[in-house]
Amino acid sequence: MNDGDRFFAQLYEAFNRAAQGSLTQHTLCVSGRPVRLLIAGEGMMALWPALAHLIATNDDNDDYDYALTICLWDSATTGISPPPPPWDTDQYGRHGEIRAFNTAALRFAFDLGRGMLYAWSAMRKLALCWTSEAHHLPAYERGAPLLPIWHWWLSAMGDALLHAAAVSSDGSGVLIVGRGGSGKSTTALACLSAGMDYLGDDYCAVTLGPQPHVHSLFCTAKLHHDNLHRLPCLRHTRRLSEEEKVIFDLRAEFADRLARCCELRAILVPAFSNCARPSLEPVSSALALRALAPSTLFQLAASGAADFERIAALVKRTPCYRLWLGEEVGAMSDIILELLGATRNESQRHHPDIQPS
Amino acid sequence: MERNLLYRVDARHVVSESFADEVVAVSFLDGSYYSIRGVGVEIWRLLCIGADVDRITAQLQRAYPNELGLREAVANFVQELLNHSLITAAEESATSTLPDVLPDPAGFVPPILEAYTDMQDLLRLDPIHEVGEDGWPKRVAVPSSTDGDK
Repeated sequence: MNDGDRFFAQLYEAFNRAAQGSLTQHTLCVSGRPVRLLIAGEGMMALWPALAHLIATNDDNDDYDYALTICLWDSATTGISPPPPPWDTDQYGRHGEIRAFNTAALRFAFDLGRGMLYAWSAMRKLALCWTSEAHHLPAYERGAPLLPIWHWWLSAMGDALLHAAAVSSDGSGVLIVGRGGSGKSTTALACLSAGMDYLGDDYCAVTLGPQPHVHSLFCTAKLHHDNLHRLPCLRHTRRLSEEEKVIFDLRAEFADRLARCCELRAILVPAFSNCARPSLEPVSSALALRALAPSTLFQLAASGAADFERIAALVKRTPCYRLWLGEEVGAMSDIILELLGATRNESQRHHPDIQPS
Repeated sequence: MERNLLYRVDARHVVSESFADEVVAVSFLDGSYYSIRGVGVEIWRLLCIGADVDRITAQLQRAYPNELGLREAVANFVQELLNHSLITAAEESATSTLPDVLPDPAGFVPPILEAYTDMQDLLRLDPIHEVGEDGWPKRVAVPSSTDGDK
């Protein structure tokens, strides 16, 4: 057993001691796979609302062959701390990844902003996450929890965690990609308001089979305070936070429109325009790659060439469009629905035997 | 660049994808990313294999026999790539056979390198300010990395 395996085992022992007090278990369906979430103590329950829409079925069912088990605890509500790290302070990488303790099968990261330790073992199908005091977790972790774990896990299976919003209709959807501030959230929420299905406004999982599928990870959305007036339908939506941005919990109000999965039909790259009405314009795959890859890869711990290649493969096989954002927020869903209708008709022409579900 | 050095894409921290008329390159070194166009797409393809300026020029000259000043264009472009740490230079002899360059039906377009630095903040090194008694770093207030999302 090497140092990394030994430390991972010690962390797991610490979690099991923490779980002797109180333990909450949920079974989720994430990118079509069963994932078990084990929460020791009360503190880390703060991460649950963003994931709750993925709940699979009866929590007492232990018959699943879990693709991943994620164990969460904090010291404040369990009284259990992890052992001290076996690495020196010069081992922390740009996103907190521990340079000397990172392999494709065993990863560690400590995110300074979140104050959170993430550890993942591919062999054990197990992830361990700890923080000292969960009530200090920043709002962005509560709104989009456990990003390093999803990234490592999806990447190991040949899939991808993408910095993208996604909306769909009748099982067909689009990814909306671009850096922060490009209009992903506004577009996704405008589509949700207009009756489309919603998969996320910031991060989504993508499985890259013969037909790529987008999978929802979080049932939250965030908006700057000064943008709220554009989406009055969110006036009464439950809020997880009002700090840096407003983070909405969409479960209660939009439960029937939170889609878990859709076929990917197009990639949209939003940009602001002076026009009143939004519009679409075909663009090159290269432009979409520039919009999607850096903003995804540079935010994730231990991302690399394989992740880039996957994103490149995705944009090469998917029609890409510039989404010119107009002042008429309500019209955005119209042009996206029109595009989805056109791609559906196109698909039917090429595959006449396949009936839409 | 007096000596004819062998240049190669620095695969330690650069990833790239080639399209028909553009290469997108991403550098994990500093969070920059690049659009390479024109005949730069072909030059990049040769640099992925490893090539010197003379051999790159020779391949391009065969595709564009009437084009003057090709060597200077190649040398300048290679220097630009070096300045951005996208390629490395080594004093070794090229051994690989370079593939032919097919002329662009639209005609010769000089190599273009467009650099984007708007994502560099995302690769900002998180400094370890302080470690607690338990050995773990103390949390610091860091704004959301996707700050600005509307």
